[in-house]
Amino acid sequence: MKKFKTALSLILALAMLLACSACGGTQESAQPSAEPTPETVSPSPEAEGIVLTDQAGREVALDAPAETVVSCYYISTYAMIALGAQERVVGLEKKADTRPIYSMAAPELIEKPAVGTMKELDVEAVAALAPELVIMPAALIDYADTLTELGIPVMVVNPEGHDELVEMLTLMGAALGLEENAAALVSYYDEQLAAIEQLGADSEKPSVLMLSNSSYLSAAPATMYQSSLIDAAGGVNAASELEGDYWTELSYEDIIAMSPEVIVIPAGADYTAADVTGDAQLANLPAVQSGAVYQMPSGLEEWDSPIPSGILGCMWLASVLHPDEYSFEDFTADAQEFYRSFYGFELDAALITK
Amino acid sequence: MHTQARSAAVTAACLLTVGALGLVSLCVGSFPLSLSQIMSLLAGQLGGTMEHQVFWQLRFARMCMAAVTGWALGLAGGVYQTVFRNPLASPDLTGVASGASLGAACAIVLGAGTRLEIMAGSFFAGLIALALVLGLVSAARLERTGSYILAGVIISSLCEAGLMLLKTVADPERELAAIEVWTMGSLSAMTADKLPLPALAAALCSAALLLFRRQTLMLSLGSESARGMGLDVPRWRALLLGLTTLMVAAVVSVVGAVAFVGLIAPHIAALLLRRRGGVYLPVCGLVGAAVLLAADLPARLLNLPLSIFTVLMAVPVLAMLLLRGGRDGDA
Repeated sequence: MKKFKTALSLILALAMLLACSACGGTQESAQPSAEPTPETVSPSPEAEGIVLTDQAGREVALDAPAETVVSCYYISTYAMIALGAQERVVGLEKKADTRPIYSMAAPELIEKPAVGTMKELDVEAVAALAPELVIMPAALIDYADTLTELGIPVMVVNPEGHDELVEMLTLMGAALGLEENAAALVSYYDEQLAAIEQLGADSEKPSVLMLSNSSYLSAAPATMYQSSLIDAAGGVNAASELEGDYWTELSYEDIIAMSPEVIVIPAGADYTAADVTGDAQLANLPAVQSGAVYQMPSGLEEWDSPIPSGILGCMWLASVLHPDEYSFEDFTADAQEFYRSFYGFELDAALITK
Repeated sequence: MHTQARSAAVTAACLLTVGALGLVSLCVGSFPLSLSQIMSLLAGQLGGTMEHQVFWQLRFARMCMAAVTGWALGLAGGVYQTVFRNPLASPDLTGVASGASLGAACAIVLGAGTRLEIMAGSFFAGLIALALVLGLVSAARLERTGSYILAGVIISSLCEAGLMLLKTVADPERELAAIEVWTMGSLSAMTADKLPLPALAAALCSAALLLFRRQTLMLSLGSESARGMGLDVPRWRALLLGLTTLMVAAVVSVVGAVAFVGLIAPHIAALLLRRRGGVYLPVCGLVGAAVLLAADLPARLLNLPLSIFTVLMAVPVLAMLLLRGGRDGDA
């Protein structure tokens, strides 16, 4: 019995020790900030280098604009291209060869070392590239401190919506010494959004159902970026009553009850408009009856997401909803101009479809 | 071969294997480190360089954690299989692994999902799962080994249901990805500062478990015989399971759930030793360490979860056991 009590006290002491160490000591990682903090993105005037607050609320200190960058996130890699800094990328996320925009705008990226996915980062591989800056998504934040301890500055980005995208571009512009390029992109967004706002002012807003990538029996609820895209383009989200903050499952009955006038299929969908229009259960929907089932161009970028070219998704939808005021030909010319001036390549008009 | 000579030979071979795999794992990684650099680093040179940081902060810590995790899971598996007298017993049996997974998922989806929260969540949920199993068994007033297994299945299923619910509501890009990484186990985020806590827990729990191996063996003779020898069976069973759970929860909270190591290590140890006594428990731990070190080599080269490779290694062992079992009923 004595032995048992000794053993029991040992286990209790150990449990308490572990509990104490688990509850205190280590610093909590800061949460991604929800509000954009534009005042923090300008380089600090007193410091010689650049001091920024990233989208996880961490301080990022650079001696000078970063000349070599590892981008662990496709959206930040897209932003490197959009800011005209693709040649500074020395390493990037895996599966670069599956992103059509890389082969069009910056084919050299496909040959660069891949350092990880949204799930895991190969810290040794990043260290071996000795970059002046690492840009990573909030999902990889656990690795940020590890890299910082190795003396490699890390900027965490979290472009969840349009405002956060603008904040990310502004932060990256400051870190790369390309503030003007970032400002040019942002003012283009503002101009286009103001122009789109004028469209369809006199007519009733059509109800739009934005379907998900994996199935046409799920759609974007009101809290998703895709819903704000519909609002900005002059439509009403048919699924705005849905709960949740990610693609939400729908039954046929749900869709029929929503009775959308326009159905939009995102760029990365695993199915086509023909699958939707060919489904007998959906045959009586106003959108199917009037042939208003559209698919975003699939061979380019994810225009339905908060990426640097996401404004084109908004413009694309505006031209789909208001063809009399903003024709698809005008949109095609605008999209080509966008890629010409910001991405530096000539986009084949045949890729811009609806 | 004489039993003692065999035990000594097997222990020495296991130690050598673990040592060799440890050395190999120090030489494998994405950061270019030459053999001469590694020798200098081990000799305490190259301080203040990136090489020094990468080696000691990342690679050495990862190797140590792989060995500690493998040892803890292997030893835990050995204790479970002995106490439960069941060749399929493993840390998953008492609901610890499922409980810890649920705790980690809760931290990811409902909490902020920081490393610290995930560690604390999985650790405490693992302990709660065990407490529930022990509570169920005591409420049932049945001391049979089978009651523990059944209670473990009940609690595991409950945890799995909770995990499914959390996976459904998780944001696929971030939270679901984080849950998946956790439930498949990974050492890719391992750094030196995460090592002391699980290493200390594993060391203390292992010392206690090895100290009480006589009681473990007595339990393996069955409740009646153990009671006949003057052992307070329910208390000792709860204590030994508590110690193993604590050890498993401590390593799993850092590495995530790693499949099958706790199941196959004791079988390999028994195959090598041809019995389940003497140095059986430490050999279980050493085999576990060797399995995990070996699995982490391809895992780090390909940036894939650990469980893929531990399962690949487990399949031939389990198949061999099945075939042997068919021949001589020894499995």
